[in-house]
Amino acid sequence: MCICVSCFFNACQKKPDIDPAVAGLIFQAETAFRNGYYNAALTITDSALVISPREADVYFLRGRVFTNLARLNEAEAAYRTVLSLNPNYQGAWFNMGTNSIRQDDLPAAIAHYKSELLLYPSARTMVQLGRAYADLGKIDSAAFAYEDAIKTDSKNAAAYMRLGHLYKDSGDITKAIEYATSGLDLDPGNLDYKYIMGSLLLLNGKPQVSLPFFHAVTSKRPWHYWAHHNLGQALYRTGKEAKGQHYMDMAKELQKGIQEVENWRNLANLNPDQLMLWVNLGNSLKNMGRIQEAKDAFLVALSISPMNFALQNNIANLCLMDGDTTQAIIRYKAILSLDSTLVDIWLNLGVVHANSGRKNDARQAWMEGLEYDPDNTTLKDYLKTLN
Amino acid sequence: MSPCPAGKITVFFVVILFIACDSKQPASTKKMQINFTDVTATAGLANFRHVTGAVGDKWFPESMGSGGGFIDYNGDGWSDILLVGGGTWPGKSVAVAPALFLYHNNQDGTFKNVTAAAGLADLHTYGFGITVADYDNDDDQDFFFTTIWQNHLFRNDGGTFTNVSLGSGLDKDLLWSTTAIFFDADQDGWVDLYVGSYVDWSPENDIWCTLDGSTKNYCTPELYDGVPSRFYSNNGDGTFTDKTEQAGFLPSPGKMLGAVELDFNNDGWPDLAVASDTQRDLLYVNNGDGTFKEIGAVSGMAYDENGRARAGMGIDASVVDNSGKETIFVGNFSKEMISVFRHQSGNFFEDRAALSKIGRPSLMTLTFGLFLFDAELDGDLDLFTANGHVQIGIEHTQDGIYYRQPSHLFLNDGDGHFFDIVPSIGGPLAQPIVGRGAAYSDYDKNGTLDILVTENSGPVHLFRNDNNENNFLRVNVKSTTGNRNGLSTKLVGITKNKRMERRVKTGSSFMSHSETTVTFGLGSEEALDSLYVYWPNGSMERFHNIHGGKEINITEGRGKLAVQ
Amino acid sequence: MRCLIPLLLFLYCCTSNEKQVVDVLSSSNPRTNRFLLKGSDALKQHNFIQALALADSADKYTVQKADIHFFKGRIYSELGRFTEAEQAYKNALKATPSYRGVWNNLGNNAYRQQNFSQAVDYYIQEITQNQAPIPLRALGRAFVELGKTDSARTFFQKAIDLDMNYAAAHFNLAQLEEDEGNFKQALQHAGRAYGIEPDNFEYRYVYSTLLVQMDRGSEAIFNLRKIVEKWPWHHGAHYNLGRALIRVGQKTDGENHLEQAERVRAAQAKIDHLENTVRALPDDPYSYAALAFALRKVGRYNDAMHSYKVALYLEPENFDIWNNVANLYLIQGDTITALATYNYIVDRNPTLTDIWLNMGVVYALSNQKTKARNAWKQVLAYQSDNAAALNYLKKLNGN
Repeated sequence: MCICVSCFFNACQKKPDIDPAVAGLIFQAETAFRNGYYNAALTITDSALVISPREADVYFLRGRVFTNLARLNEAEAAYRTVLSLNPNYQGAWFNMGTNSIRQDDLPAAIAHYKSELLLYPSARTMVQLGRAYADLGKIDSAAFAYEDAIKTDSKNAAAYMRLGHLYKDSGDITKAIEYATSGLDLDPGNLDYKYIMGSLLLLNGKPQVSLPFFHAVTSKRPWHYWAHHNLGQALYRTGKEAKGQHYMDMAKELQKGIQEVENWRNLANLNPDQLMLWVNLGNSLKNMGRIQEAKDAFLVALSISPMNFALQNNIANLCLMDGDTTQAIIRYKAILSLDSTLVDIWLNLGVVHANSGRKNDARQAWMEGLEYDPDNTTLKDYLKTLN
Repeated sequence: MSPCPAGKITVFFVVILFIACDSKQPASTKKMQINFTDVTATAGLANFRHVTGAVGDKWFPESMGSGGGFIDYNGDGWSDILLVGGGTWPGKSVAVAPALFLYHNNQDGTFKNVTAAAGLADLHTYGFGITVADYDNDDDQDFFFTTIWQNHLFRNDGGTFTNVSLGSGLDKDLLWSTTAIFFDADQDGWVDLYVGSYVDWSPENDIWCTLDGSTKNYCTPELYDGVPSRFYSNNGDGTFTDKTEQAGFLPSPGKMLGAVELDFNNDGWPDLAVASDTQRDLLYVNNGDGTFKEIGAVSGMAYDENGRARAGMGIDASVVDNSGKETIFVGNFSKEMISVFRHQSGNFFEDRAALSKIGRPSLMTLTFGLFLFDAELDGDLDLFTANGHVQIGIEHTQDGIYYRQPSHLFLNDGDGHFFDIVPSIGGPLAQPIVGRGAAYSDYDKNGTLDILVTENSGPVHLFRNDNNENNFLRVNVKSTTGNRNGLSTKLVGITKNKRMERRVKTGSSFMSHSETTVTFGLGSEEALDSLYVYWPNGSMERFHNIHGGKEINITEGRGKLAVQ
Repeated sequence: MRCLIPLLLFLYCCTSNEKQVVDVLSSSNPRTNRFLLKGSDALKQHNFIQALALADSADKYTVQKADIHFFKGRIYSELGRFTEAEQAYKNALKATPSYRGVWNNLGNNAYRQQNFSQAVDYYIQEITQNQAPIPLRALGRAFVELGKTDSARTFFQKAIDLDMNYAAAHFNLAQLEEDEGNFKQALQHAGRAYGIEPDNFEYRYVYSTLLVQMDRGSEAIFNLRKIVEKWPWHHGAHYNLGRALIRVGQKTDGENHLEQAERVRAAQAKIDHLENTVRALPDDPYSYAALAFALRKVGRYNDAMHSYKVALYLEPENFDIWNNVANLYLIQGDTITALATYNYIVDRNPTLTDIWLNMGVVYALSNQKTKARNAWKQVLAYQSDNAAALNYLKKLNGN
């Protein structure tokens, strides 16, 4: 199952004494954070702390930023500060628990989740607790936690899915399917759940029934090695050997990509301060078509090397591939504001405008590019197409 | 970096001097009261000297040393000592060294040289190792003797020995043989023989090797071609047939120096692990019919973590922790760790050299003889190694490595972690020697296991184990349906806190033979709650509540114990 | 409308190469500097004779003799001529007692001669004058060899404290922890070293083998495949890749790599033996030539070139070795230098028909037919019945 790094967004709690200036800064920092401007987010929170050094919300946000940057020690320090300022701060223990899981410190994760539960019992936390128990091999405790989650919130899909996973591991496939069905019914669009359901059906000797689930995953996630592999297996067992072999071959190719991604990811997590690791991770994700994840990796790289225009450009391009034209334009313009001589960026900016129907903006961008490189044939050709 | 002020520099120097010391023992090491006493002289063994025949030619075999061990040649229940004297080169030396030395246990802590009386004084050759078993099932201990030329089979005729090599089928191969092991490969009740061959060396093809460019030194085995080892099937009539190829022992790289019997997959059939010098170590899995398949490389036990073959001399194997899985230990060269491979599942082994804490301390020593035994009688098998280099004067070319080296005694904490206590206890085990063969036995019958170590071109050492605070139970087995010695019998002893698994076997260590009596260390327990005996034929007998402090005999099928 | 052309500019990040020796300090005299820089380049190309000549030239133009002695020390160290190296370094110290790096390099040479206690003394001298990460780490390595692991760990850590991006120190610490069975810590440090220098295949290898040892072989497969691609002679990589693949169920592929490991192991054993031989016989050019040949066979061209060049330093007029050097340049695709080397040989001994023959072949392959013809004609000038030359000329004329 995918990792569910669920960080609570805790907007400024309605405290009567929060400084409006601080509230504004927190909002700005949050926006920067959500758009991947991590350094900016940290800088803004620094400013907030100057005004209000004991504002727990600020530290909480910093914890989230550090977590995204894989600077987990600093994240933990920030969360601990939150708790020292406000021992009942909702989400601080939870986030620390999630970070502990990332660091393979399961006993710590369990302790943190329990602390969160004491203050704010919730299904989500119970599910995470169960997950930590399961990873530690404490199956009974895990099952108990998941069941608790379901009792607390009968619509918590993750709890059903994870309980199903436990049953699968203990060999009770029927029960596993039962729970997986409940989970999927609650969240029918969830591709991870579809993959799990498909796998359970395949395991249960129902390859034909599993097929639509795998197809759903492979069509939306062409890089999903496991889905391709299992789809191949299912097709084989339903007599479609050629097609099955095709997917198995695809899976074999994808496996190499997965191994590369995992390699760089592990290393980047071990060495979050090393630029090239995040760049390599981003490139390997991009090569697999995992655009959003690639962008996330490049954003971390950018926080290490903020003046790196190549990175900025990469991110902008990925925004575009992801359909986020607005962000792409913002980023191109940000680069150009620092160095207006980058002809390639003017080129890209123009193309984005042109694709969106903004011919004048496109013309302007390309003409700016020509100012710096009058002989650029690509720019000239593009301008011609506008005319 | 800005220069430090003078005062700080002084402090820095002090710090350096303070911390430049060896690794400390971990805090978890128990307070030890381990005591060994060198009783060589008082035991009457001081006159023994191994000879290499060296006259300055630096011929390769002179660096090998020889083995030795324990044998109850007269059947009185007391371990006697059999040593290999080495040899001289015909035409190079006038003095002709005796090949074998037999010492009779006087049962009072002393020994008497009875070589001539036992009929062993007439043999003159260049000898290496011994292995002992009752090959003809007539209730006495015979032995097989390896040499650089023809090997010899000695039949025990009630306390005297007859050389029955000629016509035995074991006399045909004139190869440099090293270690040998008796074991009943096909479980037909007659022990078979696996004989290790080393390299194709002769005075005519001796290679000129040097460390400093001008003087000849002893070569290392990479320069010579290996000779595959031989497997001889016992015909049950006093003769053997070479079945090396049929039994699946070919091809093999040769250069074998150690072999141990084990049953890592618990199928009741004896497997074989082999230590090969500078070649991959081998693991022969018994196919269940006395033929074998070699799976060392695939299993992961053949090489180090970088796929490098190591030296590979002494070897032993047993269950040493709570996993219930067998672990193989192999002695290697200096700058190489002692190999520690524990069986995982299927045919896979995991490398635990570093994890077991044996690895790092063993890097500076060169290990030959190696065996597992319960030094403290606490129920855990500990590891003893006899160390010593092959190059005289190595310390001049390799800083930190010495020709004469102390032994290691790694005590087992019960969970497969070992700590060398020799640096802390000192005593005779800490004495630097040119160690080669090593074997153990309770020669003085006080329940503790004593150590015998041979040196290359030097004396033998008998170290008496004086750690008799803990209780013990010693068990001799005799099979009536299988080979008389009960080789391959598995014994499992259970106390309140421990499950101890032992195996009756020959081989192990380096060209040496330890007693086949099984010792269970009971610690502070009065008795063994249960004893399970798994006979070679697959049957099992169970005994309960056996009080310690004694040695017992179990004969297959009788259903009862006899106190010796 | 045209699609956007993504301009993904790949980042190039310089990796710092581990400096075993400290670089030449710049002298105040530009002419000296020029000679020393050229000398440094020559040294990098393993052109030892040329490097020494340039050092002598530099000597003429400077009063700061320490630089020259230091540089000569480096050259002799590369040649494995430790006595001369030691003398040169000590001369550097006589000229400038606080010359940075001398004690460190003396330590390195003692280390290479397995005289680790002496190495420790030298490194301590260096650290006293100059507490830098390099000698601290070097001191740690020497302690490792002496079995003093606590001290080793301390000094590796000190090096890292001074420079947390000192990959080599992390690497050594990883190896130390591995030997102690502390695999988790070992992996952390190995991962750090690899993370700092992701192009360093040695770090990559150790990181991968740790994963295999920790039963996480599946995570190592990607890296091990890259290593065997780059270093097909690396038996450890083949071996670990084989094991990892077998563990994840790719038995056939795994066994293939185990077999490949066996094949390259034999070659590696030979190289190990030859390396011992050159250590014992440092004045024997043929030992170096034999080592070079063995290295070339497995594809370690840079190492092979180094050995050949040492052999040539010992016997500069050995044209057989020169011929091998030329051939090695050719194998590496450097036709120009190969031809220059052939020409150098025949200038000194024009009767060597094999060289003319080789030259002709290279010219012919480069489509320089006239030069090829001339070269083969030279063969016939000294050996009129040389069948190969006659054949080649026939083919050339026939085309």
